[in-house]
Amino acid sequence: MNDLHFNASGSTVTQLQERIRLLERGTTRQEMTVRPTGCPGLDALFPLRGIRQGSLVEWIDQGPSSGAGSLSLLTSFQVMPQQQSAVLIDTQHQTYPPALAAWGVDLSRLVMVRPATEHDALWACEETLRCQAAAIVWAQIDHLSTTAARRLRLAVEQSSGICFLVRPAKALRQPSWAEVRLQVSPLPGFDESPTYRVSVAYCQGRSLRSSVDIKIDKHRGTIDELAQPSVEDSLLLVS
Amino acid sequence: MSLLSLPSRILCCWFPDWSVQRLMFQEPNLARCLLVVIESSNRGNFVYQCNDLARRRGVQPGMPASEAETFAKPRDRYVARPLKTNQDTAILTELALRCERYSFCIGLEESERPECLLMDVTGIAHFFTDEETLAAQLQQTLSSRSLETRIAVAGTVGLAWGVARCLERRSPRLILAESDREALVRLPIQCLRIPLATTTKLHRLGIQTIGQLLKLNRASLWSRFGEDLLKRIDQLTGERSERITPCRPLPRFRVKQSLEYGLTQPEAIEQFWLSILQRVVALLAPKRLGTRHLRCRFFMEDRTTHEISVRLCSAEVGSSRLADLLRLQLERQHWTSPLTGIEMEALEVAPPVRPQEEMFSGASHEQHRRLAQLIDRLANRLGTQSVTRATLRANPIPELAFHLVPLTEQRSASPPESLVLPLDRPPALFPTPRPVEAIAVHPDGPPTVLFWQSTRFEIAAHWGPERIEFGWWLGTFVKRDYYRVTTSDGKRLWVFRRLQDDRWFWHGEWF
Repeated sequence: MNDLHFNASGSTVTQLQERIRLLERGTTRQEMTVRPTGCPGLDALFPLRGIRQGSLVEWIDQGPSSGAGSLSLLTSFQVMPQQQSAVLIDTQHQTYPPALAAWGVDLSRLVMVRPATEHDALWACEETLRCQAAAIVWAQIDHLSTTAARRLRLAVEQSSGICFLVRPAKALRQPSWAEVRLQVSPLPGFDESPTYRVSVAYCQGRSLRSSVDIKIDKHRGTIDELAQPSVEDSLLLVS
Repeated sequence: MSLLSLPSRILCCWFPDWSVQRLMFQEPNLARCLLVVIESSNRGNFVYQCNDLARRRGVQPGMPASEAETFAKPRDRYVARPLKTNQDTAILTELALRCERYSFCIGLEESERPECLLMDVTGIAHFFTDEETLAAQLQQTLSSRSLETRIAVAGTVGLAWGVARCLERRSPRLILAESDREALVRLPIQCLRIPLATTTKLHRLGIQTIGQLLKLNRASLWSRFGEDLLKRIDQLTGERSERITPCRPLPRFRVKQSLEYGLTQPEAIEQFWLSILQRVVALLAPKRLGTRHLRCRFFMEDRTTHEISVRLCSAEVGSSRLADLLRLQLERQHWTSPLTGIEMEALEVAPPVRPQEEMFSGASHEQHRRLAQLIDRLANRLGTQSVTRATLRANPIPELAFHLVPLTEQRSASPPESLVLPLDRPPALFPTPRPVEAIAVHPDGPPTVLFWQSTRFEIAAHWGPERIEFGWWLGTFVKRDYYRVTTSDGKRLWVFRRLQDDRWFWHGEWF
């Protein structure tokens, strides 16, 4: 009986959250498409158990080689619909296409934009979102004013694409218009497959989990959740 | 199916010994003479070409003119004429214009002494039943004017030219199917339009046919024979496009207007260039053409000129979109002098592609149209070199393993497939490798500590080495041992040791 009561109140809370979300963001469409990342643990960090089309996601890196760029790129190709294009706004001119091809990315569906300045990068990002031609827009943006962030948010909500921004750790001190902000930090290890901890720094809505440990499979190039040692099993072993 | 989507078909019509044929074409009575064309050089006068009678008497091209004269019998009328390349080319051009009923685009071969007509016969063979009939009719027309020809139809200019040059008098025409690769590999290397010195060198190496040449490594061919040989091979196989320059001069779509007084007000300047743009579009509209490249020149009062090029993915007919793209570039211009004149010219004109709407498919042309418009906007604002598509190259040197092709250019050949595992290459590669200091337990072994500027990386694990040794014949000798390393705090780096001097570099990262 208690369980039923809990479930009923849980669904009411979910409905109320949904209504608040729609009231807060008048531009959000009623019909929503959620794209799974292929890793249930990573999906659980998002309020809708996957990445909603028309959402802005910020990936915060914790210094150089933290893995935020790699993970966000890999995720973006996982959620990209077939026969559609992605636009990479590579501000630092470092993205390496042979590595993307090794992940299985069709380079002919990838538009690589290498702007000279960050101002141009921001313009290109907004322009691409407003054009509604690309399914994924991935960009490295260091400095983002509140106005620019709001403009990006409105642009991505009007389009049916997904926008991933890779931002430095200092961006955490600024207010965000992203639906979800994920912090990525590398985990030490001796395995050839790199491991990362992805934690939610901010989320509009309730996510199932606050962090997840994942690895990039060295053979398939997919994102897999790291196996957690089961607490119950260990207790059983102790007993 | 539109004409643009049809596979290209090129007809090559070769006039053997054109200088002699031209003389006999202009003066038919020379046909009964012993006719030689003499080429003068600082070494003396030599026979360049001769007619059949002269050849029967024993005259050979390349022999001294004085010697050729001795072959003439008493009853022969010996005629020696100097080589006049300009006249040869002029008559060949005139002939090309008379053959316009067989092709919309006729040009001469690219040579100092052209002897071939090149015709684009893509999609028009059915007007003559088929390509064989077209070639036969053309040959009949020319032979009625006492002109001897060899005609070949193939998929590329290079192949058609090569095949035509191999044909003999008893079988003067040949139609090659699109997929006839056998004929290509059997062709001798003389069909490649390469200098005689290169042909001789290849013969000395035992290479006689195109097939033997195609089996060789491209990089080594490039280092031994230069870019020209590779270009000709690519043009033959169709990997590199080759256009026929039409004999008939193309109409120019250009508008130029100068003002008596300079303009400084932005509104007036915009009004001025908009009016010029509309006039250019009005020139194109009656011919149902659009432009892929609009060149604009803005003349200033201080005698400086600012040039802006608007490039598009597909031919555009509307002035509003062209104006929009031009405005994007003008926003970034800083002029310090009044504007006194504008010249606009539509350079790459073509019929606009109007695809039919797809009835059922989800990925519609609308999506492609939007993407093309986006690319146009990005390329015109950020520069064509900033909006690219990556293609892979079969080069093991990491920084040369890809190429960024501007999206406003034509598509290139299909790229090679990636043969590395997902984590073999880092997703971020620095434009230039960063020199790092390294401490290694073994002199030739992996690093245990790396120092870059003020950062210290303790290496916890490594994978490698992957030896990359390539390009000594290209001048850029690369000899590196690459390691994928993970630091004690989990960062993944891609570093290498340069084997020539044992220095360490940080080249990429899993950023």
